[in-house]
Amino acid sequence: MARPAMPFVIKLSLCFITFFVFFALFGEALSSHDFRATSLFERLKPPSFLGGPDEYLLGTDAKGRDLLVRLAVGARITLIVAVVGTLIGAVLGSLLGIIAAARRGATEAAIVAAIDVQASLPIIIVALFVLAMFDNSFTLFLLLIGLSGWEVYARLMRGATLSAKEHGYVIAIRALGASPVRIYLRHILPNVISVALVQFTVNLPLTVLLETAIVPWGT
Amino acid sequence: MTSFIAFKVVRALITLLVTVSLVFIFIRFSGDPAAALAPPDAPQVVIDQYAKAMGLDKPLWKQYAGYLGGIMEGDFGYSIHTGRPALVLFAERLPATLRLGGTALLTALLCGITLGSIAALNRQSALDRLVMTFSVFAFAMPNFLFGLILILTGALVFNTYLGGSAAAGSWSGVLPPALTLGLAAMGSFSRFARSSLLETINMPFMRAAEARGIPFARRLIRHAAPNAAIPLVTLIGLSLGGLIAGSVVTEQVFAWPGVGQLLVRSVATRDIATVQFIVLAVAFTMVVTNLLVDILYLMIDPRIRIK
Repeated sequence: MARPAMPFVIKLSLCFITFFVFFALFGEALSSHDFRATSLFERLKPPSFLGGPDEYLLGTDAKGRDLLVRLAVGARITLIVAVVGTLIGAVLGSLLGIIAAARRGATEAAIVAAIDVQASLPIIIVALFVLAMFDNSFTLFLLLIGLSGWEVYARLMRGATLSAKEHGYVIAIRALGASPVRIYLRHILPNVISVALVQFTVNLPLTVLLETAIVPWGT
Repeated sequence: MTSFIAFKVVRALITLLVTVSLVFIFIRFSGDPAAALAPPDAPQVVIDQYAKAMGLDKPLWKQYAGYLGGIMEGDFGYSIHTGRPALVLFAERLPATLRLGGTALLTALLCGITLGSIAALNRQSALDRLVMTFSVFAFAMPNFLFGLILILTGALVFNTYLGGSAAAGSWSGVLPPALTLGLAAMGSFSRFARSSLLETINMPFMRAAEARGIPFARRLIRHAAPNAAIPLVTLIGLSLGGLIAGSVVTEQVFAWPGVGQLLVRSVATRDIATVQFIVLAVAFTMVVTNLLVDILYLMIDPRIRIK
């Protein structure tokens, strides 16, 4: 069966994302400068295609640092934080959501209460609160980014698991004597994971936005 | 219906209690407040005296009970830098933030609903695509970047400074920061208004109204709008978190003398009492608003009331 042709917008987006990832990974090689190296003689130079010096493709900033290489290093950090941070939130949230649906009772009540609490505090407020008490570090930053949005996954996965549990195939496997771990990992998880995947793609760009909003406060 | 509201209220109260307790735990485990307040070379005797004065020598559960009791009585502690109550510092800043947030929400609602309705009524046209492209742009634009662009444009093209206390004092000055703050909400409002209105327009009762010869404007305002507005009520509750988070950033960019700026400054100076009060106030606002949205939802949608 022939696949339908990919819409032009999606092709364009794919090209852009590929370019962005390649630039983040290998962009540093386009320049001979270190991203921290300053040069007082080369301050605020225009890009080389606008008449600046040839060695600075995109020009320099107020401290004479190469903008191209700083963009590449910055893109790499953004990409790592976004992917790792979103993954932490996705795995943690999905796990809690599935556990809540599987265990019911007090466990579920506790997890739902935790979701309510997280939903009542925007992540920037939480981040600033934590920064007021602890010195900032890259690990703390990554954890805070990872914390953002976990409650959405938990809520979604809890709902999806609750409805998947009632399907005939689960009852059939349970009647066959499969262990709860096997039921959830092998049978229910593949059926509900698409919900988390969709949320992941929505959350990833939001994480990048969140990152850009937090970084100026000295994180 | 009463039991549903009672359930929601209890859940809201539990959420608030857990948040308050978490804040207490976090502050206690972040370090010794007495040591932080005393000079770095202070002898242990002085630190102990500080601890005693602040009640830190009592057992933890007593401190917790005292903390909860203080909150119930409206005692949220004093700013360590100005020595004034955190509550007063917050109250001074609140009007500016409310003016900014209120204008942002109103602008977002008015523009978002108008744009979304235009898109829905001209479905699949160039206008529809234009509005939807704008909504993606509005949603994806980081607010600090948009704010900086506005400030630069104002300064370089119109020779005026769009931020600061002078702008906060005048009535028109609120517009640039409010637009910055409300942009993302505007994008999602227009998207939701479009899909909600589209869904309503295609309902059988709309066709019936058309068959009865009711004019277009009346059909839109009297028949479609009330039904299409119901999902938007929930969206307003949901967008509140984004508005609060965004106001921290926007106030910083525009030097707006509001609560968000106070929060960032208190974090930089480690003014724990003030930070704590703002965090609690945000949680309280969010929980109460969502509770009100739930109840409002019951009142405007008769279908839920019957169930």
